[in-house]
Amino acid sequence: MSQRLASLLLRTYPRAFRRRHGDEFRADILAQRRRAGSGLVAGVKFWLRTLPDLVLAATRLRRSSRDGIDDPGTLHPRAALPGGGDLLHSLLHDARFAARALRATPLATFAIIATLGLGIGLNSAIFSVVNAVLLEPFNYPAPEELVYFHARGPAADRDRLSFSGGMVNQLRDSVDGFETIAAATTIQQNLTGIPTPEQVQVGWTSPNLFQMLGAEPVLGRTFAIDEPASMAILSHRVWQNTLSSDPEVIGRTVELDGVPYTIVGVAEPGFALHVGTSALEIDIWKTPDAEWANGDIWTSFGPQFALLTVIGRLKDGTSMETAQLEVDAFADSIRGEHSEYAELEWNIWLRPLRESVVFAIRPTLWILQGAVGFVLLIACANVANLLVLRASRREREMGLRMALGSGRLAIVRLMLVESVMLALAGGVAAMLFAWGGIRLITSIAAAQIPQFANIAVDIRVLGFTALLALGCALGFGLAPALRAARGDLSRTTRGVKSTEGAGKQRLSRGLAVSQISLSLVLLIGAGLLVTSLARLQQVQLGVQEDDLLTFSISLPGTRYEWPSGTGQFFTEFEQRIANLPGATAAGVMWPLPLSTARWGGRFDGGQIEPEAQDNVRYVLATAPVFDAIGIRLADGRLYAADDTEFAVVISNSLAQRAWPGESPLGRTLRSDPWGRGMTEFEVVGVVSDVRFTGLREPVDDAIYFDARRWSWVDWEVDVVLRGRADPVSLVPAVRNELAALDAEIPAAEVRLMRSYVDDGLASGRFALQLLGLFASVAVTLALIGLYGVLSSGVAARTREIGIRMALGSSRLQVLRMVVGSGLRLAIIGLAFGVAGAWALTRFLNAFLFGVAPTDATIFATISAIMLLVALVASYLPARRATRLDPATVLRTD
Amino acid sequence: MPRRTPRKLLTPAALHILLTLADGDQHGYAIRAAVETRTGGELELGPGTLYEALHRMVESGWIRAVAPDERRKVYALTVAGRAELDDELRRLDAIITYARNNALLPDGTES
Repeated sequence: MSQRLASLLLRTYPRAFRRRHGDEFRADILAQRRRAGSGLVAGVKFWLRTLPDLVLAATRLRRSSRDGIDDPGTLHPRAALPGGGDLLHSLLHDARFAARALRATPLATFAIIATLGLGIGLNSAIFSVVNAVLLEPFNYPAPEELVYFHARGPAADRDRLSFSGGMVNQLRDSVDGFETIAAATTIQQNLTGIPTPEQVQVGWTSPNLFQMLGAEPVLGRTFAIDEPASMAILSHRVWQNTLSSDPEVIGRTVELDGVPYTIVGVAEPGFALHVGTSALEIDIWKTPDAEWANGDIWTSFGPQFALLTVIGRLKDGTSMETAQLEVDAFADSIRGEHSEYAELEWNIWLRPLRESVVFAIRPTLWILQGAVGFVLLIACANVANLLVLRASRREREMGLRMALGSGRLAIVRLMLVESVMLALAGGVAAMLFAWGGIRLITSIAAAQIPQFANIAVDIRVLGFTALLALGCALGFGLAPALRAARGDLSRTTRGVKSTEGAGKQRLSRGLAVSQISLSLVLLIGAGLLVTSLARLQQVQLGVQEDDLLTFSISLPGTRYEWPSGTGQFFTEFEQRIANLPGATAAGVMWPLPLSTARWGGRFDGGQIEPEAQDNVRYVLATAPVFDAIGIRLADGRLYAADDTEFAVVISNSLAQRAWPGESPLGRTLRSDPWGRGMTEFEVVGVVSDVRFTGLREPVDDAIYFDARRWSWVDWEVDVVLRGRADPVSLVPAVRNELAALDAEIPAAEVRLMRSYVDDGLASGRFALQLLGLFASVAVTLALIGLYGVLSSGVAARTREIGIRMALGSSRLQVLRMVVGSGLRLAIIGLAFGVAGAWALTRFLNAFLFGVAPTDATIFATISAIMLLVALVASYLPARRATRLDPATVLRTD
Repeated sequence: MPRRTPRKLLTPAALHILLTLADGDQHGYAIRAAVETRTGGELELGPGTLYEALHRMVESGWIRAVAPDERRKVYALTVAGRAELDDELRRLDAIITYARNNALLPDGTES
C-alpha cells in the first residue's frame, strides 16, 4: 500500500528530479513510514503528516522547471504570499498552516468538529427518513396520479374504507377521469399442500392492480388485464421462505385451503397493498374466483358487501379536483337511487395514495424533523461561538501578520481555509453520525413503520449534508475572518484588552442565550412525552394481559359453513386446549383488544336514538373467553346453550349510556353486525369495560356476539389461552391439538397479550426516544456553549478580576460575580425557551396523554433542572477566576 | 565586511542542512537525523522538503554529490555553499550580539 502510494507520488515530480533522486527518495519515504510504526492508525497518521509535504515539494519543483523560477521559498523564504497564479500552491500552504493551528488547540478543534458532526449528522439521518417515508413512499411510476377512494359517512372520523364489487363496476362505467380503477381485498387463508400448513395473507385483487401500479415481477409476469380466475402471484417472501426461491416455480400450483392456483409470477420484494393508513404485506395475490360465503363480492351491490379497497390512476391531464367532481356526481346518483346509501349520507372522498400511506406517521416525522432542526440551530450557534472565540484569541496573531506585510486578502483566505478544513472534518463526522443515526432509527422503529425497513443513507442526503457542513463553517468562518482583516493594527498588536471584547462578548452571549432557549424547548417536549408515557403505563386495559397467549386461526369457507358451522369447532378446540397441563382457561374472540383489526357499526336502543353513523364496537366472543381473558361479568349472565343467536352481552359503558340507572337485562337493542340491516338482539349480560381501540382512547362501548352462533370463514379469529406461568411453553401442545382437529389449519401470529400492550406503548416511545436523544444532545451543546462563553469572559476579564481582588474583593464575591453573569444568561435563555415551548408544544398534542401541552408543573420542573445545570456550567469557570493570583495577573500585560 | 549585494536569508531547512554538512559529508537520511537531534525535534524534515532542498542546493552549486556510500548519495559542501552558510551565521551572530548587549536575551539563555 505504502509502496504503491510512494511510487504514485514520485511520478508527480519533474523528470530531472526523479532521475537524480528517485530511488533514494522513495526509499527515504518508506523508511520514514517504517519508523512511524506499523498498523493502520500509524499509517494513516504518517500519510496525513507527510502528504502535504510531498505534494508541496512536487508543486514547487514542477513550477520551477516550468517557469524557470529559481527558488519558490525552499532555500530562501519568500517575501510575500504569492498571487493568483499560485493559488493551488498557496492554498496547500494555507492548509498545512491551518492544520497546524487546528492541531495546536485539539480540544476546541474536536469540539467544533464533533458539534458540526452531531448537528448535521442527526439532521441528515432524520432527513433521510423523512425523504424515504414522506417524500418518496413508494417507487411506482407517476405516483402522483394514484388516488385512493375513501367511502365515508358524515362523521369524518369514522371512515368506511370499503366498496362493494357492484359499486366498483358502476363506478368504472360512470366516471371518465381515470385510466384504471382497481379493487382489492385481503383475506386470511391457509397455504396447504405443503408439509406444515401456513396461514397467509391473501390479496384478492382485480387483475389490473399490478399494471396500474406499474409493478415489475421478479420472476414470471404479473396479472394480465383479463387474467382468468385461479391464478396467483407469490410475494417475494413466500417464494423465498416457503418455496426456497425455487426458480422453476412458474406454471406450478399452490393450494389455498385445498384449492389449487396456478403461479404466474413472483412480485418484487416489499410490494404491498396500501390500505388506508397502512401498507399490508400480502403473501399471495389471487384473481377473483370463488364465491364469497354470502354472495360474490365482486358483483354484488350494497353496503353489506362493502369489502373492497379501491385505488385508481388518473388519466393524463385530469386533475384531482376534476376527478373529485366526477366522483361527487356519481355518489349523488347512488344516494338518489338507493335509500340505504342516502341514509348513510354516503360519499366518496379522493385522496392521493401517497398521502394515505404516510398519513399516520407524518406528524411524528415532522415533529422529529423540527426537533432535529433545533439541534442543528444549536449546533450552528455553538460552532459560531467557538469560531468567534477562536478568532478573538487569535486577533493578536492576525495583527502581527498584517504588521509583517500579509495582505488582508491573505488573512481572510487563511481563515477561510481553516473553516473549510473544519467543515470537511465536520462533514466526515456528520456522515458517520448520519449512518449511525439511521441505523438507530430503523432499529427503534422498524417494527412499527414498515417503510423503515429499507431506508439507507441516500447519496443526495449525503450531498445535502456536505453542503450544510460547508455552508455552516464558511458562514461562521467568514464573519470572524472579515473582522480579523479589519483589525486595527496598533491595538491588536499591543493586545489592548480593556474594551475590545465587548462586541464579541455580546455576540457570544446572544448565541449562548439562544442555545439555552432552543434546548429548553426540546427538553420540555421530551418532558411532556415522558410524563405521557408514564401516565399511559398506568392505564388499565380492562383485561388481565399477563400469562395470556394469543394466536389466530382461519377456517376455510370450503369446508366450514358460515355463520354457524364454526361453533362446534370452537367448542371442541377450547375444551381441548383449556385442559392442557399448565393451562387454566381458553376462548375464542375477535378482534383482540389493541389489535389493529376494527369492527363496529350502528346501535340503537334504550336512550340511544337511531343514528346513521357507527357508534359502537362489535366483538365476537365465546362464553369461556370472558373468564380466560379477564373480562368480568358485572350483571346478568353469559350466553347459555339454549339461547338463540340473538342473545348478546354488552359492555358496562354501553349499558350506562343506553339505560342509565336501569338494568339493561332483557332489553332489546338494534344493531347491524352483518350488514343485513338493523336486527333486534336481546341483552342477557353486562361485562366490565375494555379499551379495544387503544390505551390512549376511552373505553369502548361494545356489543359481544356469540361466536358459536356467528363467526367468520376465510378470516381470522383469535384464540386466547391463559397459562399458569409460562404460556409460551404451551405452544407445541396447542399445535398438536389443532392438528388433531384439522390438520390443514395452522396457528398464526402466536403472541403474548402483553406484547399488544407493549406495542401500544411503543408508538409513543419512538418519538420519545428520539426527542429525548435530541434534547440531551441539545442540552449538552448548550452547556458547552455557556461554559465556553463564561470561560472566555473570565479570560478577557482576568485583569479586571485581578484588580478587584487586589482591591479587596473576596473570592466569594468574585465567584458570585461570574456565576451571576452565567445565571443571568441562563435566565434570559429560559424565559425565551419557556415562551417558545408555550408556542410550540401544541404540535405535540397528538402524542400526549393525560398531560396538557402547556403543563405548568413540567414547564417549571424542566426549567429548574436546566437552571441547575447552567449553575454547574457557570461554577467551573467561576472557580478558575477565584484561583487567580492578583499579583501575577497585574504583572502580566 | 558585508558584501555589496547582500544575500537573502536562508530558510531553517536550508540553514540546518548546510550546518550539518559543515561537520562533514553525509547522506540524506543522516542529515535529517542530525537536524532533528540538533533542534531537539523541533525541525522535522519531511522527505519532500529534504530532497527538494538537496536538489536545489545541487542545482545552485552549494553542495555536490560525492562517491556513493552503498546505495545512497553522500553530499559535501562546496565553496559556494560554505560562503552561504558563513553569511547567514554572521548575520545571526550580529543579531545575538546586539540582543546580549542590550540585555534582551531571555533568562536562562547563556552562551
